Amino acid sequence: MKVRRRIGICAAALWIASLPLSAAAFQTADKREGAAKAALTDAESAQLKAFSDRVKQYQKMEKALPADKLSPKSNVQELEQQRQALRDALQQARPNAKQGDLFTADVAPVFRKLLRAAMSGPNGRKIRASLNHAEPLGPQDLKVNGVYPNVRGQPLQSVPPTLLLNLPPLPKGLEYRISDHTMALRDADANMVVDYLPNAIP
Amino acid sequence: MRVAKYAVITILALTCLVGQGQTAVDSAAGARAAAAPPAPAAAAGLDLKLPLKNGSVRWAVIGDNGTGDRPQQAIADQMQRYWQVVKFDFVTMDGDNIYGGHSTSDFKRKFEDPYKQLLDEKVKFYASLGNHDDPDIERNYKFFNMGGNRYYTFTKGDVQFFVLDSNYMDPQQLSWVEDKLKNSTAKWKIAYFHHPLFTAARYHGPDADLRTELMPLFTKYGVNAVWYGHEHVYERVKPQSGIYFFLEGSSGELRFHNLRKPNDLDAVGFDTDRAFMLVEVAGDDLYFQTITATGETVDSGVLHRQGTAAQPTQ
Repeated sequence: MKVRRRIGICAAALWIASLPLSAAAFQTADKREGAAKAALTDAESAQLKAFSDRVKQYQKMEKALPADKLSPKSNVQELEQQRQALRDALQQARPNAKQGDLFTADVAPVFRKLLRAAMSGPNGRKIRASLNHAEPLGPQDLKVNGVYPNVRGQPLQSVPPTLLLNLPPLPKGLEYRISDHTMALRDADANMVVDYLPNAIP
Repeated sequence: MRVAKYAVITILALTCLVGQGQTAVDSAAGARAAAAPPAPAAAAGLDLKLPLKNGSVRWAVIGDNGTGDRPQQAIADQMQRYWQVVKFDFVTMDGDNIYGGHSTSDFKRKFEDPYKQLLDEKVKFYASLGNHDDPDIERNYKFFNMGGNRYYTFTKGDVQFFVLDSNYMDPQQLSWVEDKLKNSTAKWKIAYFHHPLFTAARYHGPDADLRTELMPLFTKYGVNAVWYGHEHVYERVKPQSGIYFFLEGSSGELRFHNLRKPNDLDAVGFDTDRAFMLVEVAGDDLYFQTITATGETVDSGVLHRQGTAAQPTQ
């Protein structure tokens, strides 16, 4: 009887003591879930492919410009001038650019579907929390070909990784950025709004 | 009788728990016993906890520093005082390197002036990007040693650093970090970036979405320690999945009394003054010391490399 009691006490103690280990095991089992990807029709997939082609065209046009991309320097003014020069060249190369050129009316609902799936999927709460932690500024005045509105010291809203896993990949130098419910396509080297999609984030 | 039984169970369980905690990190007193401060430190009036072993890798850690205000200068002054003895080669930056405007004068006032003496001594600063940083100017700003990249890696002795951009953790960056970690042969793998994976600070809290993506990579490829900022406090988090976590986000900014207290997450938390850290890696040991703007040491100790005899069991 005494032996049974001792076994019981030891088992209980070991169970209690193992609680933090269980918590650690749970954290390591935190798998790379990616996201609840929306099931797309062939037509929707084709729209995303067409979007990626438009992005490639933009990048090809930018590479052909005479303006240099930024490279490491100790002079901040030179870096700022270089960025301005690239932005000027881009604006001249696409003077008639307007909202919807890349996020066309055809692909816009596909993006909204992808984002809705991510936000309502298993990581939806984490994505919303992540967006809230990133010091969101509320609606900002985005203009195609305009400077991305972060140069007066406003924090640049970070983009949750599982949201990015749901979207078509972008080439180096282009980024998806979130501003309130709008998703922008930002040219990082020029710090310029290439296009934006209103009502993207549900 | 029942009460006595429960008491025994509780005591046994608590004994096990305390035992686990002690294996996670040696106490500061232990570190002091292992290595008394060298004479020059005492002569300089410094309460140095690092052993300053021959051939060790030494660096300082700052985060959320770029205000250009007097408290940032006070921390920079303490860093300079300690540098005279520790001679750390470089400084890692947890992000928010330049708050507010990003003009030439901002970079001068918020970085070049406060750290002028260290820069003059050729101490290198390796920045990561915070949400207040201008990513495209700063990654190309030569004194931040980012080589034009949002994320990059560098090696010092036995330590390889993986500097990530937690503002924009896209699939390309995740593939990059996985590839670099997989192929790393470094004895110590240390990652740093801006957004916290674990924190007891109240203002933002942890970024669980980022944690979902990074923790599997860190555990799979044996990252030893992680630093981040964003919250304007200091925390030494209890090891999570066997990895050591530090939050140093108070080297310029401060959120006074912002830590949840008590909390089960932190081994040590400090939120009543600005701080920076000194770190020394020697063999399988990582020594650390956290120092305030007035020169007070608020945390110190030694961590053992995971996989060695003295590693934490968690």
